[in-house]
Amino acid sequence: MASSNAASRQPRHPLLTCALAVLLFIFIDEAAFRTGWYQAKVSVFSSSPSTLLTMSRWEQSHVTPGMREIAIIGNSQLDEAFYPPAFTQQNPNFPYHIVRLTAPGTWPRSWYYLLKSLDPTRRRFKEILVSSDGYKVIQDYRPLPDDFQEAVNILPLVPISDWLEFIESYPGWQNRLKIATILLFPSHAYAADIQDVILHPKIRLSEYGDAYDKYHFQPWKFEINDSVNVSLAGFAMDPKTCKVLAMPLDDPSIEGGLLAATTNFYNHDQREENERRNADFDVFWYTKILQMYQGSPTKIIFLQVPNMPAPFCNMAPLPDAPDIRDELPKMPNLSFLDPVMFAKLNQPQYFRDEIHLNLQGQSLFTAELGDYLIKSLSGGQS
Amino acid sequence: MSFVSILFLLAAGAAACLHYALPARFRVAYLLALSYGFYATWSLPYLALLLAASALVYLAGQRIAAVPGEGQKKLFLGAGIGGLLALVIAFKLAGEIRGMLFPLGLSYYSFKLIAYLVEVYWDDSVCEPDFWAFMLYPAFFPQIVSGPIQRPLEFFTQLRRQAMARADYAQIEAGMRLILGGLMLKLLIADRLNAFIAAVELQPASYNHQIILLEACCFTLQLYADFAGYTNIAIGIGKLFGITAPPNFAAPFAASNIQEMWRRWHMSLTSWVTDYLFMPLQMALRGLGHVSTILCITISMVVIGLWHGLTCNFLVFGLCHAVFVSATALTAKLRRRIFGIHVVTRVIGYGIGVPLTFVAMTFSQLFWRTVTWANAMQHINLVFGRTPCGTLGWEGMRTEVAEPVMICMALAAYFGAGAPGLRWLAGRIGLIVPAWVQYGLALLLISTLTIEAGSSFIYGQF
Repeated sequence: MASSNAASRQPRHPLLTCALAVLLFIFIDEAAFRTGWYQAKVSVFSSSPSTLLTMSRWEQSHVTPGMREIAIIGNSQLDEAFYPPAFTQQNPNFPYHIVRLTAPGTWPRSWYYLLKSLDPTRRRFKEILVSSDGYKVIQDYRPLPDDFQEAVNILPLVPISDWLEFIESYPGWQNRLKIATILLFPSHAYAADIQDVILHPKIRLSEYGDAYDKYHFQPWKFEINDSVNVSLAGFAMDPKTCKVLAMPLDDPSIEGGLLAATTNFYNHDQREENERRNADFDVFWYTKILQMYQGSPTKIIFLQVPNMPAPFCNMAPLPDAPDIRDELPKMPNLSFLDPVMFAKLNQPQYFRDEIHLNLQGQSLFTAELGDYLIKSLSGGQS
Repeated sequence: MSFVSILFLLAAGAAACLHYALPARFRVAYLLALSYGFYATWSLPYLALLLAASALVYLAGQRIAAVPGEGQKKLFLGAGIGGLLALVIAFKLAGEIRGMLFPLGLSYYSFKLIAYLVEVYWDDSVCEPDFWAFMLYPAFFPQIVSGPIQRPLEFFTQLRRQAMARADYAQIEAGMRLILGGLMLKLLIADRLNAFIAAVELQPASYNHQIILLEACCFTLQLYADFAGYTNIAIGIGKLFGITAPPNFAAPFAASNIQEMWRRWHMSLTSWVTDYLFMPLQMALRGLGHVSTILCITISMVVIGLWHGLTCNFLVFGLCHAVFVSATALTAKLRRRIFGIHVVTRVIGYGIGVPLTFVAMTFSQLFWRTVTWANAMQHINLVFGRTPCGTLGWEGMRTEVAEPVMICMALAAYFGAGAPGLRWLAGRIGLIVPAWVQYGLALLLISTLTIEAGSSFIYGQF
């Protein structure tokens, strides 16, 4: 009897215990974070990952058949510039459904994986309008290409077969190790968000309730930032000296952004190097998107979003800055919208801060791009 | 390679599996190769230093055991200890004066090697004949970064046993528990407290007095959570390979006086100092009464202080503790007379002693944690209100830094006081929830509750 008790107390083989523990951890990790459950149900609308995930889950399950969809893909600049509900209201008979795939803080790397997950046959969209900060690449606020947050944003959309390539796209072995860790254990990527939920459960739960009541998880109902009514009208600077001549607003955060754009904040000394780095990154991922749609009936159209309320000395491209139009592969289904089309919107009165359009700018941009869509899809322009 | 990196933990797990798959005769060589490989990821030139120091001490040990005369033994012992101390002092001075990088674990492996020489001097039978087994003693990778300082006889006995035996499942599982516990202490508690301390240290003069006092206490708790976390991981990894290192902590915050605290804090170092310095000194000076006690305590505590670094601040840290420990030793009878008369007075004495001990420890840490004397004085002046404090409160730091501080301080204090009731609770939970579920959930906690800007182990610098 004693020996049988002793035998029953024998510990399980440690390898088995270890394996079971790791399997349990992986199971919870995958179920909660890889499937997008956490991002959609807990972290709802609080961040770019949840926006991207919610959007992608919705669009995966709401396909309009017969290539009757137009995708608009980009980051906050296009997100705040083009407002599909306004366009649909003005053009109720427009025969295509606009799929809004814009999320703040995302870059071409995210857009590639987003499109790959949403359009596995490459025959879903009639056209894909891809945002570009500038055809002539500028040095700007982008944290590329080692942006950890971008990996967090896109994590559940990266298929296992692309893991190696995704890891390799980050420079340095330490970055790659970090990315590999969160690809393997996605819960780790959302650690900061989980901790925020634990620390502020009431606020986060009420955010969830509000978001649910307001949007019912329909991505095109996302409202843009509340501060869009702000206008930079009256802002003036000397384009030669970059000296601010007039600063009409009394908002420290907007003023801070404007001053940063007019001073040496963006590493003036490494400007060429930064432009090249940004260009390499953009060209690499835009090319991936183009290669994905090689031979597809989908048209890929690049557009340059209005991005400068004034000719900021340190952000405006250098005369010999790389131009993505020259560097991207030539393809029959690729075109670039003429930047002149939206150039008139590069005025302070249409901006709410140094890079985003305000409501007035959005209204004009939506109308302009809408006109183009109507003309091009009726065969008038391509 | 850090103990808390996923790469290290995966590699350690795989290495342990391979260890038991190997024939017994290759295990020592395998562990030695692993240990040198681990060290080489940090620095190749300093690996050569480790090899040279170990080999020379091996030869010195052989000579001490072989020579017949006491004088010759003393000569080799003195040469060995002198050489090792000179090495430590030279690198510490080079670090202080010229900013030279201190060899990883030198303070630890040199103390291990000194312990070996002294033990061989005391008893020839301790002399390890197997060169490769001996070379593993200072280099054993779970212990090389920051200890614990394991005694030679204990190490070699276990090494021989593990080389012959099959895997001990109970020991391996205990190791896994320790690793998980250590990771939680480090990543979930110490790193969070570190974020708070770092935020205050950025602009100490801006914060109000309450925050300054809290931050001073917080450092003692962080140091405990950080070092105890490291120690648990180190002991746990050692157990995976069949080697159990001595503990470093035994509920230090439950100590009711500073003397008792030192018996519970960094125990492998304090027991080393007690056995190889304090006791021989006391034997030599035993005719001097109280003077002998004070002298031996002072020398021991100064050595402990300077072992961390040859700076004025560490010297003052040692002297502070010399005063505290001497005062505790000299008033032992008096305290027993006052507080020992009844259970109520004993409880009162304990109630006064525990917080006083913590305060004394926290005060001395103001010297320990600062690099320069001016920096120490700045901290002390702020803590004692001699320099006007700022007005900034909790609002001066990010909410994710400020909000968990009190919970983490309470948890560090709870674990530092021996986690009363935890063993009972764990036993109850263990009856219902299988171990693998507990470990799986612990992994999830570690994965989701760590902070982005984790810090390296504080004792890694010594």
